[in-house]
Amino acid sequence: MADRASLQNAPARPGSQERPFLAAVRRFRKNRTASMGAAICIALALLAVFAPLVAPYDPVKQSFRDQLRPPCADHLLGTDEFGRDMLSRILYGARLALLVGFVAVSIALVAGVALGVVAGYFGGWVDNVIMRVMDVLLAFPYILLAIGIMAILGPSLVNVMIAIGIVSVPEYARVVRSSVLVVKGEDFIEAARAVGATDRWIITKHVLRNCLGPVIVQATLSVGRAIINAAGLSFLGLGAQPPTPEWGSMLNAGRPYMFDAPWITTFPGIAILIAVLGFNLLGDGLNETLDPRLRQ
Amino acid sequence: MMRRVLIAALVLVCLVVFPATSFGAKAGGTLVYGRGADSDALDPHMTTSGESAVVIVNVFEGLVKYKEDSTEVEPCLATSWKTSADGLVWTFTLRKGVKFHDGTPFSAQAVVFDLDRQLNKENPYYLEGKFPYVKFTFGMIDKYEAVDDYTVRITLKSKFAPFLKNLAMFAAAIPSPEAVKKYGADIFKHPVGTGPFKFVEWIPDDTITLVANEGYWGGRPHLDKVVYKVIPDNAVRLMKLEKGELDVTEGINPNDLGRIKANKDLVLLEKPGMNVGYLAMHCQKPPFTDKRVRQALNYAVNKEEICKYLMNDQAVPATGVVPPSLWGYDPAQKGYPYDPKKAKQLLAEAGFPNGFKTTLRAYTAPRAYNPVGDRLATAIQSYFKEVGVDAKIETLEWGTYLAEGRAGKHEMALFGWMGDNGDPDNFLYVLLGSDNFGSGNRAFYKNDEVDELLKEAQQTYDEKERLDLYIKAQRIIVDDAPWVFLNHTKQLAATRKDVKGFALHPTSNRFFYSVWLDR
Repeated sequence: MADRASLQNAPARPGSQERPFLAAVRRFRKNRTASMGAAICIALALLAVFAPLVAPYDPVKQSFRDQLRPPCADHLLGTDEFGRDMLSRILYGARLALLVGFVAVSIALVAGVALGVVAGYFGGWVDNVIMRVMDVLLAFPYILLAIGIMAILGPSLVNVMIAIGIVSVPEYARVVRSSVLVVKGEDFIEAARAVGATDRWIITKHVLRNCLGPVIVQATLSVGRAIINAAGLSFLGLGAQPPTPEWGSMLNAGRPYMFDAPWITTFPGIAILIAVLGFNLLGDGLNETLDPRLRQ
Repeated sequence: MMRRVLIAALVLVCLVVFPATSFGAKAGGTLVYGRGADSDALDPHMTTSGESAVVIVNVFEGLVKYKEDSTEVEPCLATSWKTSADGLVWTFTLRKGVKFHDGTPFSAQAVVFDLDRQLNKENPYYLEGKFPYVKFTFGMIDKYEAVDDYTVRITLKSKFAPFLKNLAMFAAAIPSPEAVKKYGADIFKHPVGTGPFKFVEWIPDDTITLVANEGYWGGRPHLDKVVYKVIPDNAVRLMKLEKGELDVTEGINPNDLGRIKANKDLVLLEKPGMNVGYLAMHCQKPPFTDKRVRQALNYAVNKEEICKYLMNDQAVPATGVVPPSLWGYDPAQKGYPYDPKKAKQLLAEAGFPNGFKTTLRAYTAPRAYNPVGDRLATAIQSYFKEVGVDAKIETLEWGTYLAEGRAGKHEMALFGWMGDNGDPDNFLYVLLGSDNFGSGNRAFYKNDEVDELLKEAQQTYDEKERLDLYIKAQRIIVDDAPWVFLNHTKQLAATRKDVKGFALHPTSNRFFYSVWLDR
């Protein structure tokens, strides 16, 4: 959290957005971590979008005669216990992973930013109430809270997105609130007030725009975490229901075959690793390029 | 004179020592039995769990017992019995000189005390709601009395053919009346019976320890000690067997069979199981009210493939309800072979040329009648899809699953049954009689003709006539297709090579009396 907190000192330059944006893009392209992360994420997104074209087989088509084939020319990553092609399943799984990642993060983003801005901008008892609720949510271990929410909602992929979204709200609220607190004290806010701007105008035109940096970084980093947590919930049988090719449930399904068919667990595991790594690299890269303190 | 005494003494010593030493080759040792879950109660009447039964049958005995290899009944604590002409009054002559592990002598009073404790609400040791099996095992009993110390007379309310088989069940075994008085409601933690092993201690979720009963009426068992060890994970348990930390294990992942067969230190035991796995279709809910739909779904599923590939030959396809290992099985019954074309045709006739949408309920963890857990649902779903039926899988936690199954909240749900007493009544009446809606009949199947046949069979003592009735009932049931008839799993166990005399009993009970270690 230290690096994010440091963003509080980001200079606010309303009105002159074009040039700093270009500068950020230039810095981003120079940054190796960032470009590598971006490359992985783009590749993943392309594979996910074009999965029906790329995948050699139907991911849910069962064919017992082909069960548990090791990786070979016909099945590059082998087949599972139902004779389904692992490569096709992993490619379709990428769709779900990205979908879950983005939807969960969007839920958290919208709710978290709204709460954070309100808490930070208005302060006082509003701030107190919102932030104490967030503290309570934070007091629960992340995955445990998600399991609890899933227990109420029932097992399904949509509910996984909702659960992970809810669980991630406090982080956004905190990050946004601290940025808002800094921005609130800036001269241009005072100026806007002096001219008679409404709270709504100030929040949308000044406050939100100036919080964008840390929020983007936070969002990118948490896509990776949302993916891994969704996989975790599915691994526990709470998420995707069979025969959906979801990475976490694929991992779980392969467990009894770990000794004689390790490819069923290995490849989905690697897929999760790559996806999470991609988003984390991208997030770190963004952080470095957007954070003025880390700039050379 | 002195010589004579010496010789006589020598002969006596030989007589005593010799059998002991020839016996000594087998005697001794501790057997560690690995299993997936702990017992829940060690009183014969206070549990329905198979994991409790495997302990109970070694500590307790009933009036009669199953033969070593079948569910035929032979004498145990009763040496003989007679039935009155009307088939209602059963008189049992008891074995003399038998003592419970606490020293209490076994007598007709003990038998009557135990029945009274379960059936008479006025009995001070009656426990309301704590005897889950009593309605099944003894529900047909009207009166019981001790004629003398070694004669018991039991009168039934109406003729009930499977009565003797019920008496051989673990749930009909007899605990010491003095122990029941001493421990009261805690008796389930303190098993005291007449069996070949005595209870020592129970560490929940870890071990149960038994030792040999030196004074057993049939002669001391070979083993000194039996330890039941709980290890939940199938793969871990197998590894412990390979390392020699366990002597016997059950609950084997289908894909580990090859590994066991390849290991020279291990022996794989296989036996047909007394069970059936099925997909119940709720016969009172459309579209399953239509027989053609139910038949179509039977044709749609390739059970041979499921048994061969998914269950790795750990099961045989079911053609009906009663498993092949059980009396009452109909070998002429061909069931529903895999025929997706016919399935589509039947669906079209029923008005679903493009199939329909439904939900398929499943449980996650493997069970004795289904070694692959929810994978079975995935496979079935895929077969259904090929004939146009779109089934959404819903997995529920086992407790909720059972409760909602009893309440009939499902459209289709996977279930299975392990036979209790080795009688077809225990399959057909319990699972498909309309008296048992919900409790056993989870397809909510009702056919008056079947109900009548099953009731008639309960009251027929002639074996041949009974068999005819059951076969007739089964043919109607299979044609009505309230279930997708899936599979009968085999019983499987792996032992260390030096474990001798361990056998898989059709009831899934495990008897350690004649087991010995060749070490």
